[in-house]
Formats: sequence, C-alpha cells, structure tokens
Amino acid sequence: MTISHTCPSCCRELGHIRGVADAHYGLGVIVCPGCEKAVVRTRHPDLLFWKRVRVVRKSLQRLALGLVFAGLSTGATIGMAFWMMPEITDRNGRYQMPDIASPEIPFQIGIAILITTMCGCIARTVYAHLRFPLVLGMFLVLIGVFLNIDWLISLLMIFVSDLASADVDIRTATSSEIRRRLLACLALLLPFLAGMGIGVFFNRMIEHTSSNRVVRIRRRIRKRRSRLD
Amino acid sequence: MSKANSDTQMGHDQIRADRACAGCGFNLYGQSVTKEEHYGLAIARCPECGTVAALQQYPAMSHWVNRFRLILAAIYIFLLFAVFAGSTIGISGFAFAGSRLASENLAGFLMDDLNSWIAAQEASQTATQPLNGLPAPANTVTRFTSSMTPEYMAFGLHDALERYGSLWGTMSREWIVMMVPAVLACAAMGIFWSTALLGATRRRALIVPLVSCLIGGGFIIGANSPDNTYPWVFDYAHQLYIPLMTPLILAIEFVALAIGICVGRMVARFVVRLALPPRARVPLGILWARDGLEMPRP
Repeated sequence: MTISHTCPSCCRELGHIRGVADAHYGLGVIVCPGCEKAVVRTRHPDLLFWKRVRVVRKSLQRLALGLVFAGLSTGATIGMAFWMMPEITDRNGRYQMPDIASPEIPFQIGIAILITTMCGCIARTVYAHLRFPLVLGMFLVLIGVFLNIDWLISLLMIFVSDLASADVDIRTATSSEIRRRLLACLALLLPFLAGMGIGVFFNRMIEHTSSNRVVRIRRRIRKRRSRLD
Repeated sequence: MSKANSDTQMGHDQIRADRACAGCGFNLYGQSVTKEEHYGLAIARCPECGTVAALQQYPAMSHWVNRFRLILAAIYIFLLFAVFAGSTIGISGFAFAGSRLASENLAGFLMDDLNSWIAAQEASQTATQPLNGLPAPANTVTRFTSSMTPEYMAFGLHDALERYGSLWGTMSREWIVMMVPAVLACAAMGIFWSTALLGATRRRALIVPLVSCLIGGGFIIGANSPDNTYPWVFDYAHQLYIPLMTPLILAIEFVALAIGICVGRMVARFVVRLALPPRARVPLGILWARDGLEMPRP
C-alpha cells in the first residue's frame, strides 16, 4: 500500500496522487485537490537507502546468475564433448560412426543432445539482451578456450621455458587429441544452436508472461484508486 | 482540558495510507487528521498508545538505518581484509616456491659434495686406523645423507660454495616457468582490487598489493634465516636463495598486480555490459562514474 502523505495546509490525504516532476528542479510536485496548494513529494532518505540496497542487490544477483549460468552451460557442453569423444572419434582424430547397435550408445547420444540443447537454451535465455550472433560468438569462444585450456597453458609455459632456456618437461596435448576434441565439440554445436533457437521462444514466453503481470498489477492499482477517489 | 480536546478538531481528512505510529508501531490508517492549536501542525493521535504523530514529511525514524549502514560497511571491510590476508599468503607462497625451484641446482651440487666429503672422511679414517692388521673391505658402502653435519659446515661447505660459483648464473630456470600461473593469478587479484577499491584512484589502489608484497617478502625472508644445526641440504640451499629470489619474484608479481589494477575496471565494465541488460546496469553505474565515463547506451 502507498505511504501516507498529507497536505500541510488542509490535511487532505495526498498519498494516492501521483507527483509530477517540475520543469526546473525535477521535484515531484502535487497540487492538493482541496486547497490547491502545491506540495512537494520527497522520499525519506532512509527509505531511499533501502531501495538502493535492494536494487544493487538485484543487479549483483543477476550478474552472478548470468556468470554462473554461462559457466554451467560452457562446462556442461565441454563435459558432453569429452563424454562423446571416444564414441564418435578414433585415435587419429577422425570421425567414426558411433556403434548404434550397442544398447548404451543411443542412450548416451540422447543424453548428450538433450543436455547440450538445454545449455543452448539457457545461454540464449540468460543473455537475451544481446544479439544472437554475439551470444553465439561468446559461447563459441568460451567453449573453445576452456575445451583446450590445458593445451593453451602448456603452450604458454613452453614459450616461457624456451624464452628462459629452461630445461622443463611440459606435457602438452597432441594434435590428434586436439582434433578429437574439436570434432566432438563441432558435433554438439548443432544441438547447442537448436537450444539457442528454443531459448529465443522461451524468452519471448517469459517476457509475455511478465508483461501480462504488469498489466494485471496496473489494472488492480487503477481499481483501488477509483474505489478511494 | 484534556490533550485530545486541546487539538483543534478541524476534521479535515483521514489517513488513507500506511503510516506507523512512532510510539508503538500501530498503523494509523483511518485516523482523523487534526490541526493542533499551538503551531497549526497536522497531527494524528494513535488510538493504541495515545502518542501524537506529527504528519510531517520526514517522520522521526530509528537509528537502525545508520546502524545497518555501519554493519554493511564493517562486513565489506572485514571481507576486504580477509582477501588481503589470502592474497598475501598466495603471493608469498609463489615467492617461496619460486625460490625453492631456483635453489634445486645448488641443492643437488651440495648433496653430491656432502656425500663425497663424508666418503673421503671415512676413507681417511680407515687409512689412519688400520683394522688390527686386517685388510680394508673391498666395497665400502657409504651412507647417503642429505643432512649436513657441523664438521662439513665448518670445513667443507665454504669450499663447495666457492666451487659452485655465482648463485645467479647457476640457478635452476624452472622458477621462470612457474611464474606463468603466478602472473595469471596476480593479474586476476589486481582486477579484484581495482573493482573492490572503487573509492580509490588506480594509483592509490596500488598501495594495497604493494603492502601485501612487502608483508609477504618480509615474512619469508625473516622466517627463513639460515639454520646451522644439522640443516637439510635442500633447506640450506633454499635459505641461500630466498634473499636473492624473493624480491625478484615479488617484483614480477607486483607488476602483474599493477597490470590487473590498470585494466580491472575495464574488465569489470565489459563483464557487466555483457551479462546485464541496460536497465540492470544502472545500479552498478559507479563503475563508469568513478572513471568519469558515461553509461553505455542500449
């Protein structure tokens, strides 16, 4: 319910009248309907403090959620790529047909496709404010980098080791291993893209529901005002 | 005349919104608003406790908002201190491990020298004290030790160090490779400090990692002075390298921290722009305002 605000001149309740920002100072001015005196609507600084805390908390929460979901989507897609790698690639990094006759392989493929689709859907829904190519590019970079993070770090260490002419034995992923990873990742790109497509519709549905809610709330406020006035 | 009657009963209006009584917290909704006779102020009387509530714009509030502000600030400062302690431990840990790696060549050399010195001592002892006319054993098994004796430290160590040469030129280069994760971690820590210390300019924010490096370095150098009673060869070599390597490694880490602090707010702004829609970015606008930048347009 609204906070009480009385006219200092005639004591009329002004809490339900919306303040209009004046042209010079931007103060919320209300003209009392009883005595026509202009009254300024200001919020108490203590209330403003809590409002600011709430808004900052919401923003930080959303930021954390966005980062966590990005991490989860990337991590799950990479996990699925590693899980599918032995089934769809051979030791030389070439594609091989998965053994469909085996009872667990179709189940495994189904699970991988489902989870990757879900990852794409989450990625698009959480980053709905960005354009589609940007979200796709961002996740391709994230997945590509973290898929080969050990290789990238070992390359950096070998570079530094050569620079310092240090004799250090650093293990690095072989080129066939990198090919296998990329191939498995490419195979899962299609369900990821499909998931992103689903995410667009999912996001529209959420926005539609929330806008309906806003319309309902506004209607309720209008009814209450009409009852009071 | 009672207080209730002293208020001029003008009967202007009723309170038709929420207003808590300053005395008991009772909701004054529905109470009639009157003008008191002395100053003409609009008041309402609480039906529960009888307290007069002046219906001014800023009613008297409790001190709890200020207390909560204080509590929030205290929690934030406590967290910053905890991160400071953690980062100091991390920074000094890298310096400690780096100097250990650098000392490996010297440790290996001293180990060989110690064991050959002990073998020579034992051989000379056997030669000077014949075993009652019996021949010396053909294969003498020498014990392999890594703990230096006081005799070796008094007579053999100085020569060994002279034979080894400069500590700088002969150090193991593995520590340089170990600096890759150290530099990455320090840059990440710099990004954190740059974003957490929004009240300070970048130059002032550099003081925090500088103090962290100084404390870490002082602690490592102070706590690892050479031990002269049966020290392990590896520890002794490490203790020789600590005063040399710790300042160097800490300087490298400080440079990484400084780079992190320089780019930290830029990285934070990039992440916020990427992760939040325009409306949700507004409360975090201090990231832009602090550097005198305008908020990005949607």
